This record gives sequence, C-alpha cells and structure tokens, in this order.
Amino acid sequence: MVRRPDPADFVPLKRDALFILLALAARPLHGYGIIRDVDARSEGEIVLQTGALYRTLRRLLQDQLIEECARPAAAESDDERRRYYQPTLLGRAVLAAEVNRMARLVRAARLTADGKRPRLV
Amino acid sequence: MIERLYRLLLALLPRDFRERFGAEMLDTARALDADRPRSPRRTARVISDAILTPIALRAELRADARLAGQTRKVPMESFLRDVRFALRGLRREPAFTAFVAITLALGIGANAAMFGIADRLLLRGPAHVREADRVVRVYFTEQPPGMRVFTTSGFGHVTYDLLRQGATAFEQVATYAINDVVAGQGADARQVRAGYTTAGFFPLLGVQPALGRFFTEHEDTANAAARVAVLSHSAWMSWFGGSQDAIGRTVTLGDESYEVIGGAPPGFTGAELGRVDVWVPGNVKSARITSNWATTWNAQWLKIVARLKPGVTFEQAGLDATGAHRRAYTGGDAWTAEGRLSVASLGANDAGNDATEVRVLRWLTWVAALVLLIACANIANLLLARGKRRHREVAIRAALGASRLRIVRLLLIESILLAFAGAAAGVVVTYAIGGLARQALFTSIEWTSSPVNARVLMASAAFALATGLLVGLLPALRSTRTAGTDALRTGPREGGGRRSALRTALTIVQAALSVLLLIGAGLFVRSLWNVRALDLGIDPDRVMVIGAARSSLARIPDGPEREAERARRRTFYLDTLDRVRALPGVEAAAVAVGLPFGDRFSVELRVPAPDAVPRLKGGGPGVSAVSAGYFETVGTRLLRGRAFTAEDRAGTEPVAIVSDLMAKTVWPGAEALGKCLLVGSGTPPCARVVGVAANTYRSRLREDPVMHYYIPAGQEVGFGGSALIVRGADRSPNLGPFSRSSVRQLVGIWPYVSRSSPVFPDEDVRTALVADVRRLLTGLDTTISYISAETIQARIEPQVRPWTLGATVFLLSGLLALIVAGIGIYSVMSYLIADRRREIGVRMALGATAADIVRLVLRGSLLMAVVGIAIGEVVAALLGRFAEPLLFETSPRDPAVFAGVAGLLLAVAMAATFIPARRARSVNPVEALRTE
Repeated sequence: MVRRPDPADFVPLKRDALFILLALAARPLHGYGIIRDVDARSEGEIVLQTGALYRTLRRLLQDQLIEECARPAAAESDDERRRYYQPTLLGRAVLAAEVNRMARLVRAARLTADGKRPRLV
Repeated sequence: MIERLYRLLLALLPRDFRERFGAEMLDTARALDADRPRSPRRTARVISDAILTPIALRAELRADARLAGQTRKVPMESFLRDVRFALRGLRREPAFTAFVAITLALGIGANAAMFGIADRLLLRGPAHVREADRVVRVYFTEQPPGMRVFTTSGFGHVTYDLLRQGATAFEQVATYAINDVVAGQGADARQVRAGYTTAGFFPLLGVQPALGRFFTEHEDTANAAARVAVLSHSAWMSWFGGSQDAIGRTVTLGDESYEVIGGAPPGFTGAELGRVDVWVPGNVKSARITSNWATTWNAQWLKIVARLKPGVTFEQAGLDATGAHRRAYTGGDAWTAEGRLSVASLGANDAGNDATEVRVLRWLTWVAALVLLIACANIANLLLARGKRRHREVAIRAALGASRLRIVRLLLIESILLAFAGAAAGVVVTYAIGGLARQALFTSIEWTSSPVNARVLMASAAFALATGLLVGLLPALRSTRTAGTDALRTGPREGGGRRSALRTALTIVQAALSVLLLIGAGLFVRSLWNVRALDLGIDPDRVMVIGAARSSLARIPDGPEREAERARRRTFYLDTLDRVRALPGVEAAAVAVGLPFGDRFSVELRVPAPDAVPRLKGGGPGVSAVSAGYFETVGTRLLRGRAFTAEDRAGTEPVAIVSDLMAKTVWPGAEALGKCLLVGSGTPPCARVVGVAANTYRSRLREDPVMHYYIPAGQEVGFGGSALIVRGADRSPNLGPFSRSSVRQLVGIWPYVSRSSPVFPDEDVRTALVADVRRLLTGLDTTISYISAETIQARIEPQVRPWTLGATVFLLSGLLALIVAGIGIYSVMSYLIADRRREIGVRMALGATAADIVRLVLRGSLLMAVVGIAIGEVVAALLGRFAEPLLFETSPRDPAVFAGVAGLLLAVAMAATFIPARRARSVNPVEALRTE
C-alpha cells in the first residue's frame, strides 16, 4: 500500500522552493516568469539564477508539488519552448503548511521580543 | 556569452536533466540576459550559478538515489572526492599555495593578456568581417628606374575598375581611404577620422548596419545630389547619445553638411583595426581631389579591398589581377606597366608586410611564454620537493590499495587546482598588462572589449590546464615511482641520499631563461639610451608645429577675389608672426615650409662652379623655406655666417643657408659662404649662401646623412604648405609626478627618467599655449575652422617606440624572471640543506667549521648559477642575430650587457643562498644525528 504523502513531510521548505511555490500559487508561470515574480515578491532580495531555478523545479516536480500545465490564454509570449507550471493540490497543502509554520514562528518570536515566555511550537 | 556559458553548463549536466530542461534553461537564460543590464556583480552570480549547478545537482541526484535504495555509483563521485581532498591539502599549506598561485598568476596572466591582443590582431581580425579568410587587400609592386623595388597599397580609381571588369578571381571589390577631417564648426570643431568608401564596401565585408542603412551605389556617384554619412557606433553614441533620431540629422565634415542615414555596429572599423568615426561615399571625395580622378593612373589615394571567390588562392588572385592590370594599363611608364599586383590578408600593413603591431605582438608573446616557462620550471621544482616530503603518504596510499594511476590522478588534480588558482589570480595581471599594452603599445587599434573577456578567460583556463599538467606530471610520476613498501620501511634518511638532479636542472633552466630575458633587456636599454643620446641637430621637445584648416577656397567665386584670398592665406602666418611671438609663454616663433620629421621637399638645384651637385646615399639635397627666427625656434645651431632676417622675403635678394654636410660636400675644402646656388629653374639670379647651419636629421632616426639648404620664406617656388612653429618657454621643467603624461612616460622609459628632458614643459602649459595661439589665429582669420598642434617630438616618438617597448617589456619580465629564479634557487637550496642535515651534522662532528659549511652550500648554488649563466649567454649570443635589426647602434653581443647580467645573476644567487646557508651553519650536529 502506498502511503499518501503528508504535507508535513515537506516542511520546512527551502527558501527558493517557498518563493517558487508562492509565485506559482498566484498564477501559472514559465521559468523566466518565475524569476521575475520572485524578484518582485522578495523586493529584489532573491534573484534566482537559471541553474538554481531548474534544480529546484526538478525537485518540486519529482516531489509532485508542482506540475506542468497548459499555456494560459493570456500568455504574453507564444514561444513553443516555454513550459508553464502550477502547484498540485499537494503543493498547495505544503505551501499552506509552510506558511502556517512560519506564522507560528513569527508569533513566537514576537512574544519573546515582548518579554513573555514563548509557547513551544 | 551568458548563453554560451549555459550551453557549456548543459553539457556537464546529467542527460536526463538536460533532455527534460535543457531547451527551457537556455530560453530562460537568454531572456534573463536580454532583460537585465550586465554588471560585474551579475556576471559573478551567473558564473557561480553555472559552476554550482552541476555539483549541487549531482549531489541531489545521489541523495535521491540513496533514498531510493539504488547504489549506482556516480562516476564523478571519486573525482569530486579527490578534488576535495586536494583542496584540503592545499589549504593546510597556505604559504606554499599562495606562492605557487602568485607565481603562476604572473605567467598565466601575462600569456592570457597576450592572447587577448593576438585574438584581435591575428585570430579574429577586424570585427564584423564575414568569412575573413577570403577578404584581402590589394598591393602593387614596381621598380622605377634607379630606385628600389617598392610595394604600395595606394591605387587610383582605374585599378578598382580594371579589377572589377578584367579580373575573374574576385567576388567583390571595393575601395576605401581613411583621412582626418574636421567635424562640426566653430568651438565644436574637432578632428575625426573619416572613412571614404565605395558603396560595395559594406556588403563586401558582410557587415550589417546597427541603425538605418549603409549608402547605395547611387549615393556614391561624384555628382550625387545628397551628401550622406554613416556613423560609427561610438560616434553615434557620443554625437547623438545613441538616439534613433540620429537618422536624418546632419553632421558637418569639412565644409559640407552630410545627412546621417545609418550607424555601424559597435566595433566596426572597416578593413583595418584603427578607429573610424564616420563613413562617407568615396567617389565624392575623389572628385574633390582632381577632376580626372576616374581615369588617371597617377593617383594613389585609394586602398582596395576584395573578396576572393571561394577556392581561389592568394597566388591565383595575384596573377589574375596582374594580368588584368597589364591588359588595362594605358599610362606611359614602362615600369608601372610591368608592375605586379598581389593580395594579402587584412593583417598586413600598407606595404603588404606584417603590421608593426603584429611584429611587436610576436615579441611580446615570446617574452610572455618565457616568463610562463620560468614560472613552470619553478613550480615543478617546488612540487618535486614537496613530492619528496610526501613520499610516505604516497607509499601508504599505495599500500592501502590505491593504484598508481589513482595516485597520479590525485597529484595532477592538485597541480591543476593550483594552476587554476593561479589563473584566477592572474585575471588581475591580465587586466593590468592587457590594459597597459593597449594604451602604451597598441594605441592605433580600436579596442571594443575589455582586456578580460570571455574568450580571454577561456584561454586563461586552457593555459591553466596545460600549466597544471606540465608542472604536475613529472613530479607526480616521480613521487609514485618507488614501488612497493621500500619507502614505508625506511626513513627519509635513505630516501634523501641522492641529490635531485632533476631539480638542479630545473633551477639551471630558470637561471638560463632569466639570463636570456635580462640580456634582451640590457640590449634594448642600451639601444634606447643611444637613441635618446642622438644629436638630431634640432631640439624637438618644446617645438610645436601648428597648422590651420580652413574652409575651401572653392566657396569663393573664381576670379580676382579668390586670388586675393589665396594670397592672403599664403602670407597669413608671416603676417601674424609678431603677434604670436608676443603671446605669453612663447620663446620664439617662425614660419617654415618643410620641417624635420615633417614634409620633405626637393627642387631642381644647380651650383655654377662645380656644376654638379654630388649625389649622396641619403638623397637630396632637400630644401626648406624658413622665416627669420627659424633656427632659434627649432634649436639648430648656426655655424657660420648669418641667419635670415625679416628683410629676407619675397622680392628681396635671393639668399640661402646650407647645412654643414652640404657645404663640405659641394665645396670641399672651400668656404661655402658667398657661393651661389641656382634654385628651382636653375637660371640666375643666384641665391647667395649667407650662412652654414648644423646638420639635422630630416625624417628618420636611422637615416643616411642628407644635404639640406634653407631659403627665406616667400622665396620658395614650386613647393609650399607652410606651418607655424612655436617654441614654448621652459616654464616648468618639473613634470608633475601624477600628471597623465608623466605616468605614461614613466611606464615607457622609467629607467631614463634622470636623463630624459621633459617632452614639453607640461601638458597643461602646452594646452594653455595652444589655446592662446588658437584664440589668436581664429580671432584674426574667421575662415579657420580648426587648428592642429603637435610637437616635433610627438612626430619622432613613434620611431622611438620599438626601443621603448623592447626595453620596458624585457626589463619588467627580466626582473620578474630574476625574482622567480632567485626564489627557485632559495627553495632548492633550502630543501637540499634540509635533506643533508645529517650529512652536515656528520661533517661538523668530524671538525668542519661553520665557514666550511657555508662554503659548501654556497658552492652548490653558485655552480647552478654559473651553469645557468653560461647556457643563457651562449643561447643569447646565438639568438643575437635575430635581435640585431631591432637594436640601435648596439651590438647584440655587447660585452658590458653580458657581463652585467652575469654579475647580477651571481649576486641574486648569493643573496638567495644567504638564509639557507645560515640555517646550515646553525645545524646542531648532535641533534641532527639523533633525530630519525
């Protein structure tokens, strides 16, 4: 029997993977679109390079967090080579789990900063 | 470049990954590259991404495979492990690693810099030329009676026509000429380089416009209605800010307005490598020079470039063109009818030979290769010594089952890593040397890319790989040779018994190569010294030659008005002379037609008494027409008689001043003063000789003495073209140490700083003086569009450059080699002494004194030095005849140079042995015998 993958197995996500998932959660994108989106989303802090991007995409595809999808109707370029990606259901669940984890982390950090004893997460 | 980098990267990636993502990755890389401005930071990121990706990806794949329970071995794994191991080893010895890296950085960096220059000059040629191996320039060789065979690349339009119509070897033919022209008007006026070409020039080369279009046949007819121009990329950028609106705007060249119709791509310089700012139709210019431009055989202002048909050799093309020329020639000169046409590739100069730059480059490349060889010998030496120390480690590995191949591979990886570290550090060296060479030595070439570009980096990597193998192979084979467990069993005591003959040999090679370079340096320094010490008969440092460009006389309707203007222009300089002299900072000023290292004139001359002017090898006699104050201005001594005064001018009694050589040659044993010269037509009245002036060099530093005489400005007939010459006051002999010019000087001739007088008081003073003169002249004459100014020294300087260059390059590399060789001797001696500690201990125990020990050590190192010197000097003596034509009044076997170099190397060997010798002296015999 194959165990259904549990989103909790995939967190914490690596930084690049997190931002790529965030970008794709908004809309399907191709490789270069992801780089631009991540750049904007991170306010220029994360500039993905080509090799790093496709390494992460391979990993996400293999873990079945993202999948290839049809070209969106409103795509800016009709270049044949461009493949578009979107998160799978599992991918969205992992993203949610990760964001949730981070939110708890931030809350704990804030409590500490306020001088209260942090609750264990 | 970035795309190419990723293509390379893809080849390194696992196939599955490449097939799935390859096309996408390239697309993304391309989009990313197009989108963002290049910056060093970004380039660094991209490069590190490209390096990291295959490594990280393989690691991930391995991890995945392990998880999946597969145990398939990734072949890269053991390699990567070796790399990591080697890196750890090198990190443990930072001093050794740093020393090796720096030494190799100098060698590899210098060679990569030379590659960068060769790449443009020899390998790639002018940019944007398609299938450059079929593109040739055309040359003409003839021998007029009584003269030497000479080759030229100057042609008239007729030759262009006959090649197009009568020759079959060429696919396309075009002409071009490159000239300075004044662009803009008034205060904006500046001199630019214009290329005058036929319309077929651009399609022939295969260049595509970056903006607009190139001109058409129709626009290239002599009476074309519109004047059109194509800007170079840099002119488009600087004149119009790179705006698309440049199309349709006008530029003023000379007297005329040209409409901009297009822009050339960046780096396009036509068929040569020099900068060209603007391209305009050539026939328009030809028509301006003479009315019979299309039919005359007596014209040489065009250069011809052609594209050969596929498969046609240079010889065939030459024969074909010669045939066409002989069939078509209708001029009257028998020797021209028999002349020969030939073709050569674009790397050749105007005489069909290797361009000076190419010759210079060849020398530089040899020197750089020598430096790398010396560095390699040094590093191989160090690695041998190191290999010896690691003898046991190697033996242990072998005992544990590592094959010899595996150990050799590990050691090679180590040396290659070292070489790559050297290459990485060498980028700085490449940048510095490449930049310097471009600025100081290859000034006439338009460089478009940085001295460190992708191709240079690739060459650097190739050099590193070769160097790593070269220096690593021998030590690696050596240190793995001892088979079996012998090395384990015995201590280094036994292992160190035999002196390393190989290491001694390598040190001797280093010494010999350094001697070679230093002798080169010595010979060039002496040549340069001799050049600088030459008495030219003039004082060229502070003499400015000033010329004015004016609007064309053709603008004035033909008639008395034009004649009046012509006359006014002819005497303009003479009329303004007093005002020029009154300017602050002017010590003397004069007007001259025909100057040393400038225009050379000669007119018919008869002398009544001997009735024949003897001919000298140097030719001549030459003539100049000069005003009062000339000799004072150029600094030529008047030996006897008087100089010209303001009373000697057009219409007064004809007089002349002759050079000393002329006085002695024409009237041997008699006084020249008062004698008569029949100048020009050869009919009376005589020009009476009133003075004798010192001899002067006329045009070359290496010339046979040439007779010369002077007549007063205004009395010249049959030649013209006067220039204003100004001698600046010697205001500040002190060169500001940080002014650009002095830095440039320092680079070129720093060994002579003490001797060399400043070229001109200072660049600032000169600029101010030129500005004053410019203001004065343009104020007096509104037809002047541009004033050019140049010192006579600046005209001589290109002739001095080969020696300056040779001295600098050889001196710098020679000193470098000397340092490296010194370190080599030091390290070999150190290791030898470490090896022989026990022997030394025994000797001391047996009663040898400290002085004995020092003598022993010193003898070893001096022997190496002496053998190195002997080999180096013999080789230098043998190679001397190749250097001879490059030297200036210096023997290639100059004993002082040879002796000086020998002394220097011996001194360095002594110094390098000093510390090891002291260490040997302080060996404690008891301790040395007890250890091990």
